[in-house]
Amino acid sequence: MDEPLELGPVVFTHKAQCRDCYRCLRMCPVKAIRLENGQASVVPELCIACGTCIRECPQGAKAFRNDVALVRRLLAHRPRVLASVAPSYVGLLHPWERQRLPPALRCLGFSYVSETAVGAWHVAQESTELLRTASSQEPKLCTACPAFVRYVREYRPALAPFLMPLASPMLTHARLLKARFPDAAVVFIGPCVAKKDEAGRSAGLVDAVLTFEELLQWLEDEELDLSAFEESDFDELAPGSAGLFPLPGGLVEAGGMDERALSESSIAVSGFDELREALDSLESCPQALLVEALFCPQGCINGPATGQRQTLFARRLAVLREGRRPLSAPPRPEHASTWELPSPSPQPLAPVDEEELRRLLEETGKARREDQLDCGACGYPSCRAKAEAVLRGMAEREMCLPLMRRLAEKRTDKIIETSPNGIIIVDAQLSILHMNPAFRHFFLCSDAVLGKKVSYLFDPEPFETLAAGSEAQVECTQRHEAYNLICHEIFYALREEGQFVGIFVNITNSQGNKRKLDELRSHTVQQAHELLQHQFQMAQQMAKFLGEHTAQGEALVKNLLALALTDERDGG
Amino acid sequence: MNTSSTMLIDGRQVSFSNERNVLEVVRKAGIELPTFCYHSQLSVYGACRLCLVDIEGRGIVTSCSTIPEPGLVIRTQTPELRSMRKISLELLLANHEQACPTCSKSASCQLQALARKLGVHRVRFKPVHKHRPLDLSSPALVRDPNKCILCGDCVRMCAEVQGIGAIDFARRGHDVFVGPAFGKGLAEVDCVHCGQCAAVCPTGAIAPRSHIDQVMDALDDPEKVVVAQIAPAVRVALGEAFGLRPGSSTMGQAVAALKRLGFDKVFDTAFAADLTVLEEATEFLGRMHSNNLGEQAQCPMDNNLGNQAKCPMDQDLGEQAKCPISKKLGEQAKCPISKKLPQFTSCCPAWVSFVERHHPELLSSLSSCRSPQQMFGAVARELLPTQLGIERRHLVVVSIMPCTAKKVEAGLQKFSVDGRPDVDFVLTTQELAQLIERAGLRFHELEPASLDLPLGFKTGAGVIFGNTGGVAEAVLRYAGEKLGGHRQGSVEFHAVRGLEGIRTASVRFGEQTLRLAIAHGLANAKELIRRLQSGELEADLVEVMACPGGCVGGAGQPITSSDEVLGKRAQGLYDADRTLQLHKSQENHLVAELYRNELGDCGGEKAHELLHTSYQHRRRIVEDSLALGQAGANALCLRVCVGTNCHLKGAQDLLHRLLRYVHEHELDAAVDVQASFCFERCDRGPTVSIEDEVIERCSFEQAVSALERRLLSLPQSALGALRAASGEQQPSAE
Repeated sequence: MDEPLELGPVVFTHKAQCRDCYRCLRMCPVKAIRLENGQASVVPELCIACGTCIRECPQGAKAFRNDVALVRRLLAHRPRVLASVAPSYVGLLHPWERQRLPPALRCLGFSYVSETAVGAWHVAQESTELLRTASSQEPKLCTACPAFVRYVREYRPALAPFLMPLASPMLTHARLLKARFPDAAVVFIGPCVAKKDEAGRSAGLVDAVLTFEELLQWLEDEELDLSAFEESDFDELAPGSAGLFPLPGGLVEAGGMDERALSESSIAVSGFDELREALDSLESCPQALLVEALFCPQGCINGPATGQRQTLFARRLAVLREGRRPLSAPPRPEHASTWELPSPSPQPLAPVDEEELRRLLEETGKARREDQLDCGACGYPSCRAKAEAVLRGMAEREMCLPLMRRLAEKRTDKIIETSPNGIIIVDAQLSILHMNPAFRHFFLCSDAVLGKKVSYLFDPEPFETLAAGSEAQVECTQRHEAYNLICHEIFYALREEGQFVGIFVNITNSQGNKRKLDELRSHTVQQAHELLQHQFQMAQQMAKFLGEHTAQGEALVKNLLALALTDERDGG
Repeated sequence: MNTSSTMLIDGRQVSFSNERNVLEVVRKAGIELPTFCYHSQLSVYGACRLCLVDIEGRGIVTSCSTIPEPGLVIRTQTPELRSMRKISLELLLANHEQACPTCSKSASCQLQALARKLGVHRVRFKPVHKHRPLDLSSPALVRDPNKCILCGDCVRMCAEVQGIGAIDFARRGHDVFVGPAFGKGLAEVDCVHCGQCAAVCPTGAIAPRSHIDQVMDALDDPEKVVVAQIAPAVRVALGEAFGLRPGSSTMGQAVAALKRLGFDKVFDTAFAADLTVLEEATEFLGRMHSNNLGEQAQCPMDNNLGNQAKCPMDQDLGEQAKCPISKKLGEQAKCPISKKLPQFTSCCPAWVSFVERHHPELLSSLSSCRSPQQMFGAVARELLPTQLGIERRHLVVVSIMPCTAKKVEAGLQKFSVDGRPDVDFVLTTQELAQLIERAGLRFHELEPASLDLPLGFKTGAGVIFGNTGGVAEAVLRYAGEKLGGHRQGSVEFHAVRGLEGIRTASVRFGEQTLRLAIAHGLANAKELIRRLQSGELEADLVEVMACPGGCVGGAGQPITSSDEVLGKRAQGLYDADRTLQLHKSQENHLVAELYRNELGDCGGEKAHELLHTSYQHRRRIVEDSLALGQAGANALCLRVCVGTNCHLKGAQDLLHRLLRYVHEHELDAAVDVQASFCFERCDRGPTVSIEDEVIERCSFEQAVSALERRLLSLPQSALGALRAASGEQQPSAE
């Protein structure tokens, strides 16, 4: 092969599809997701590649690295490429499809198709042997699930010594295959994303990992229809009950550790919540117990890259039915899974300055313990954890629902509080719920009237119209003599809240001015009339003397009168 | 390409390079000229007159028989041409029995299709032919002369591609018809029932014989347990009948369909092919070994040879091993595997039939292995009644085959036990498609189903049996390993693949080199035999399949004459081989289990009983002799073979001299001289018989002395009576 392909991180975000919902962060068991400008991105150093976020993201914005190109390269350049297929394939495929999977893989170029459960069988046998010879009273943690192993090593280092020194079925199988075919490349095909990470850390033992989703897509891209293949077996089938490995409890059965379905010496946990609880318990109180932990709820059959062709129930049933094979001639134990586990490597979390933390909490309204709701809406389990994440550059200050709500509410309040218009909100019984300062000023009241009927302040007729439901909005101009107030008023209903809002635009001043002008005008007319009357009387009296004078005076007065009347008409 | 190599067709410039005739150039130009008698693999005949074109300066000619020349100006569609084609077709239809709806070829009949395409809605001419009887003599093929349009495709196919000539034109002019010699049935002449005539017949004049009804009866019989075996080549062609791509494997759907049709178990003939590989390769290695030991060599497994003997099978048989066959055959018996090389394969019944009729000298070179179909039948009869808990007589074995000759093979006496054939019925791929249609199954919607075990498990070596070169390759994968030549990596031998008519390859295994020769199409086989016999070519193993392309091109497959389709079907089988788990027959653990539990050793006694057979020289013509004299009832019968071989060795001359001798010696009434047809001792001719005494390499003198001896041995009274009879007759004769 010329030069290795540059492999990106196993899990990543499609930025375009990510729309700040924080669901990935909420679900991420190790909080390996950084939020920046409302967008989530996976921090590869922290990520244990469990794939939870891929399963959970409602927008499909989380993805795993597609390795089909890598596998094509292997097929083109390596003398032989072997496929190791995880046992959960039986849950994914119909019976007739299962029989045609090996030929389809051979058609893609794989020269040998084997079940990973072959490795699982060896793991189970060695686990049994290990447990029999182990004398200590310590817990034993199974290592089949790479996400679990990485979680313990990096996030629960105290428990890391209890991990059994055994390789996973995938690595065990790869070891067996490479011992037989030294020149071969091994490609694991399964439901798991963490295996991609595990393979990358296996020093070339597993050359590539494909998920079932990648495989099915690849077949589709090649226009290979499973129905067009002759049925054909795997080149190697797993013995015994190793096919049950993808289910919680599969190891105990495959290893023949206990014939009973439920045993007090082992506990199978799946899904992060169960697993964390078990680890918490063991950390506080270590006891001799085999912990078979699978990171995905209900085990590998629910792996994040299983595809959605069958229900989880159907997948589980298929594995239960097909996972057991007669163990006619058990293979020779080869100690192929003995494995020196790397020492724990706890995630180095940058220390947080307490003073900065306190200031941040204060700024976000969480200074007091009782203000720290620990609601988890941000994705972090506590306000303190979230604040630490902010200080470490992993989270944004605004990622807090109560904080954001308060901020948002403050903004609305401000608009209402500073409005020059009077605003009142009443409930269905027309009792006053809220008034803004302008309203209080207009109607000369204080918060003391809160809860009182609005009729206490003014005629509630517009509200009653709304309450009657006949109209959605009432608009009018009213004069409130008692308050020397003229308002243009708008009333509308908040039907869902069962509340009514009144907005009062004060137009008293403009109304007053008009009246003054009107008064002036009518006063002028009246004075003109009075003058006219007066002058008529004068004229009648003076007519005898000043006939000509009178006619002039009359013309003048008429002019004046006409002017006044015209003004009035224009202004009206 | 030379710019001058163009011609004008319907106003468009069309370039051409190595097209053999104008018809091919016209078709290259995207114009579909109708033809009946033109097939690219056959000689040009020019009989059907449908491919007529108008060439400027030459007038109307048949395009199939016109050599392309630069500058030709051709018109393919003129009113005159159209009307001529239409009349030709009308005339053909006038004498064609128009039983279209009930004809087996209905819907795939080219005559029907052309009548539709050319717009022939009415036939204005009256039929003048008398009804001729159907030829139902063959279990594989039905000949209906009333549907024959005399295109000659079958005649040329049989003669040119298959090198047999079992059918030809007879009579002249108005009375002309196509049929076997002397008006006999196909079963009475040297027809090998390969069915390629039916594959090229444009109408229903020669068609495979259907066994659908018998199979349906068996399926409906509640007492019967019906099992099927599906031959390798079927899976890559069945889909074509339902519009799928050639070469796409539909094995899963075929199994599902058969199960839905009521078959109790469905198995794979490829299992038996794996079995065949082991038996045939073991036989081959035995021959090789004995060959290496030289002329003196006897059975390599003979105890007399002592410790020196190294038999490749020793390992398998162990120290105590004795040749199980020689024991069985008695003291005189010679080890059947101490025979000469090359070994010819025997999987193809048409080929075996060809050797039995035309090359008796090769009978001992033919592998004694039964074909996979018959191995399957024998094993199924042996195994299944116990396994299924049923009575032997209730088991019905049906084969699904790409082949018509398999129908004949299944009916051979030697493959019956107590009157019960090992394989009851043979359906062709086409018949299976019809059966599926008849049952109303939607093929595309069938969910693939699984073959039953153990007889449904196979390796890729068994699957490639359906291709020319496949049997050779499968044997190589076994023999190569036995010869110690461990090949690295691939098990594929691309040297033996391809569609060349005759292919040779040398493959080296350790210190041994295996020379292979492969032929498909019996004319190619004939040529290959000639080269081998002339010493031009040497081979250790010769694979022959009668049909072009091997079984994928069998006459029972959906009809195609395109090498491209054959290539795709072949690719489908090679793909199946590549994608199966196992590729070598010796890795088939269920075959190994069969040996362990039932058959004993490979090539052993039980294996020979069930899996091997013997061959016999067969007469090419079932024929009574032609009496030439005027002998009386009690006359001595003297017969001279005048078959081709004896003729070449002077039989005609011998016959004439004997006739003259008898006449001159006034023995006309006493000796009945007959010209006879074949004593099947062609390599030792001329052959003469006097009563039951057969004289090989007979000279005139030998014949006369034998005749005299006979006459002298007769009682005087009898001789006198005979002479008297001659005497009485003579005057009248004069």
